[in-house]
Amino acid sequence: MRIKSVLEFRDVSYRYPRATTWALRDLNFSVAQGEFVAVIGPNGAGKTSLCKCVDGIIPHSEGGLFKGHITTSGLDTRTHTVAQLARHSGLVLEDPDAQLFATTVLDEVAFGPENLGLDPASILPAVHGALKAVGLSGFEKRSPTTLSGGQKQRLAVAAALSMRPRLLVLDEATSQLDGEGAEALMDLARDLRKDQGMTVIMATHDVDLVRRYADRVLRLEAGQIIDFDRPERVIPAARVFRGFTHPQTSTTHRIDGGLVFEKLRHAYPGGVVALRGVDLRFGAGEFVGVVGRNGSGKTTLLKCAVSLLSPSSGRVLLNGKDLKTMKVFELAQSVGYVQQNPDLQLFAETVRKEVSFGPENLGYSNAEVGRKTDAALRTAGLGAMADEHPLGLGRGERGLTVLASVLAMEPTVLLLDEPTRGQDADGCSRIMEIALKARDAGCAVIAVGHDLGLLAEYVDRLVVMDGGLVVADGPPRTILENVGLLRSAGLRLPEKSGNLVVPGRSREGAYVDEACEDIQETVCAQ
Amino acid sequence: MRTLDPRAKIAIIVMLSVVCFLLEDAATIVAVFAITLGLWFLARLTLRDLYGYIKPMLFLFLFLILAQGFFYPGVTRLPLLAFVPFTLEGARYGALLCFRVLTLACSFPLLLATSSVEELALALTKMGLPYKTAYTAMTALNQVPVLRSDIASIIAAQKLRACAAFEGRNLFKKLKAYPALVIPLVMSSMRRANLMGTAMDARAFGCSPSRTSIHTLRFRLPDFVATLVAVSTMAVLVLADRFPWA
Repeated sequence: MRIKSVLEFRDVSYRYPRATTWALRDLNFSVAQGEFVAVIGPNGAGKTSLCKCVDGIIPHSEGGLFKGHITTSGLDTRTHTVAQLARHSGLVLEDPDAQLFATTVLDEVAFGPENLGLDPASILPAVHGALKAVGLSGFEKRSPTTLSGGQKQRLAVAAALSMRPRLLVLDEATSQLDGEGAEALMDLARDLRKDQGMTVIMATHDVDLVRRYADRVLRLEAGQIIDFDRPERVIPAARVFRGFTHPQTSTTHRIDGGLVFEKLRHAYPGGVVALRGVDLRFGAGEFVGVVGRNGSGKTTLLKCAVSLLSPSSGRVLLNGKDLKTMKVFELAQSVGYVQQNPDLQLFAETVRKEVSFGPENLGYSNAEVGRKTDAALRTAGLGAMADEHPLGLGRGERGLTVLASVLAMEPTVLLLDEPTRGQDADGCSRIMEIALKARDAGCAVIAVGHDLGLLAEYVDRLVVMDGGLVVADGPPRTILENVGLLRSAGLRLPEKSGNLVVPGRSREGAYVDEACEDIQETVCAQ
Repeated sequence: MRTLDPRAKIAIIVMLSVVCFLLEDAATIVAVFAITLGLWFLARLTLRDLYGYIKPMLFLFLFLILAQGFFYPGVTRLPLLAFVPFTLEGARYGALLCFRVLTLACSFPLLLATSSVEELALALTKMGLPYKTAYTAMTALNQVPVLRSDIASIIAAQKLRACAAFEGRNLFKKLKAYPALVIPLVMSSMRRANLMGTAMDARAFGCSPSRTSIHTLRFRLPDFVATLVAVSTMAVLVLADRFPWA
C-alpha cells in the first residue's frame, strides 16, 4: 500500500546543548514515498541537523532543546529510539572513516542486520545484495581501511541498505567522491526509488547533481526553510559553471625553476602503484588545477612535493634543487601545503596564534610575524575571529584558518589538497579568490580537486590524472572540449547556468556548443 | 594461532600476562619472552611488525635500566660513571622489568592481529561480558592504528609549518611541542568518536536484546589442547621460578 507521506516535520525547532542560536527553526514540510528531496544551503544552515532529526539522533543522542513533531515512516521520533527508527531509515554520513568500524567489508555491512536480531541465514543474502548494488561484490574479505575514499563511501551506503530501510538519508555522502563515483551513487539512489519505492533525502552542496536527480529541493538558511520546490525554481545560479570568467595567465614563459616532477613514480607498501612516471612542471605565477578520479594519484603527487612521501624512482626539483637533499622543515620555507583534514592541522589556542605559528618557526622578528599574521588573517577574512579557538569554528572557517596559516609563511609554491571540500558556494569562491591573489603575488598555486567546473573557472591550466599518469595537461578551455577524455578519467562535466539537458541532444553536446561559443566570442573580441 | 578460537587465544594471552608478573628470575622471564616470540611467528606476524611495537618503548627501556642501575640496592658497582654508583644488580633488575614490558607488549598483538573485532566481541560475550561493552572495547582497541596515523598527520602538518621539534634529538624541544600534538589528537578523536557513535546508533546498535551474528564460535579439540598446553607450560615455568632445583 502506498503511504502518502513517509516523512513529516511539524513545527520543528532545535537548539544544540550550550548553543545560543537555533540550528533549526519552525520547519514544516512532508516528503512522499519514493521522492528524492535534496537539502541545500550554506555551511551552518542546518542541513546535517535536519538529517539527524530524521533518524532521531536529534534529540535522542545529541540532547539539546527540541520542539515540534517528526514522523518517520509513521513513527514519532520522540517516542521511538534511534535503534527502532533505524529499521525504517538508513543514515550515511559525510566522513566515511568515522562510520566504518568493522574488521572486514562483510562484517561492516552485516553489522546493522545483526543488531536488528535478524536470522543469520537471511543476513548474508541481504549483505551480498547491498554490496552488489554499490558495486563492491568481491570485496567481502577486505578491510574497510584498505579501500579508497570512494569505495568507503559506497560501503557506508551498502551498510545502510542492508537494513532495507524505506528512507535513505545521505548527509554530504558525495563530497568525497569523484564525478564518476557521485553519479554512480545517484544512479543507485534512482534505481532504489524506482525498484523499491525508497525515499531519498540528500544534504549536499553539489547543485549539479541536485538539478539532475532531485524531485524537489529544500533550501535552508540559518535553520529556516527558504524554498521547497522543484530544482529549477530553487537552485541559485551562483554555483553553476559560469564559463572562463577569471583572467588566465599565459604560463609558457614562466616554467624555468619552480616545481618540477621528473619521471616520478611512487608505490605504497603493499605494492599499490600510485604514480607511474609523472612529468610535470609548475612555474611561478601560475594557478594549476589537478583533477582525476579517486585514487588517480593526485594527493600522492602533492605529498611527494613536500617530501611526506619519497619517490620510488624519479625526482622532484624545487628551483632546480632535488627535494631529497632538503628536510621537510627547510622545504616549509618555500612550499606551503594545505592538507585535506583541517582538524589535524590546527594546534594553537587562538586563530591568531595558529596563523603566527609558521612565521615564528621561521625565525622572523615579532614585528614581521605580526605583519605577516595580520595580512594572512585579512586575506582569509578571519580578522573578526582572530581571538577564537580554531577548533571551535565552523568547518569552512577551520579550512580557511589552515589556509591563512600557510599563507602567513609566504610560500613560493602553494599546494591545496581538495581545499573546497565541505565548503558552500561562498566558501568555494572565497578560497579560489585567495588562490588567485597568491598567484598574482607570484606564487605557483596547485589545487587538487573533484569540482572540474569550479577549477576550470579559475585556473590557468588543468592537469588530468588517471591511474597514476598525466593524461592531459593544458588550458581549461582545451581540456573541457575533450569530453571523451574527461569521461574516461572519471570526471563529471560542469553544467552551465540554464544549460540543462536539452531533449534530443546529449549533455556533452550541449556543453561543447557552449565551449565553442566561448571560443568564438574570444576570437571576435581579438 | 590464526585458526584458534578467540577464547583459546584470550586464555593464552592472559596466561602470558599473569606469569610475567609472577616470575622473578630473569632467565625464566626471558624464556617466557622467547615463547611469546615463537607464538608471534606462528601467528605469521613479521619482525617489522614487532619492531613497530617495540620502537616507541626503546626510550622507556633505557630509562628503566639506568634508573634501576642507579637506585636499586646492589653491591657490584660498574664503572659507568666515575662518581655515581651504578650497580650490576640494578641493571639486571632493570632488564628484567624490560622483558616483562616486552612480553606484555608483544602478547596483545597476538590476539588483536589474528582475530576480528567481531569474533573477539562474540568471544567476550560468550564469556559473560555484555555485548555492547565487549564490542565498544574491541572497537576502541581497533582504533589504535587510526590514532597512530593521526599522530603522523599532525607531526607532518607541524613540520610543514617549519616546526622542527620532532625532527631533531632535542628532548626539551620535543616535550615543549607535545601539547600542540595532543590537543588536535584529542579533539579529532573526540569528534570521530562522536560521529562513530552516531553511525552505530543509526545502524541500530544495542537495539535488539537478542543480537545475532554471522559468525559462529566453536571451541574445538585444538583449542582445548592449546589452552591446556599454555596453562601447563606456564605452571611449570612458575614452579621452576619459585622452586629452583639448583
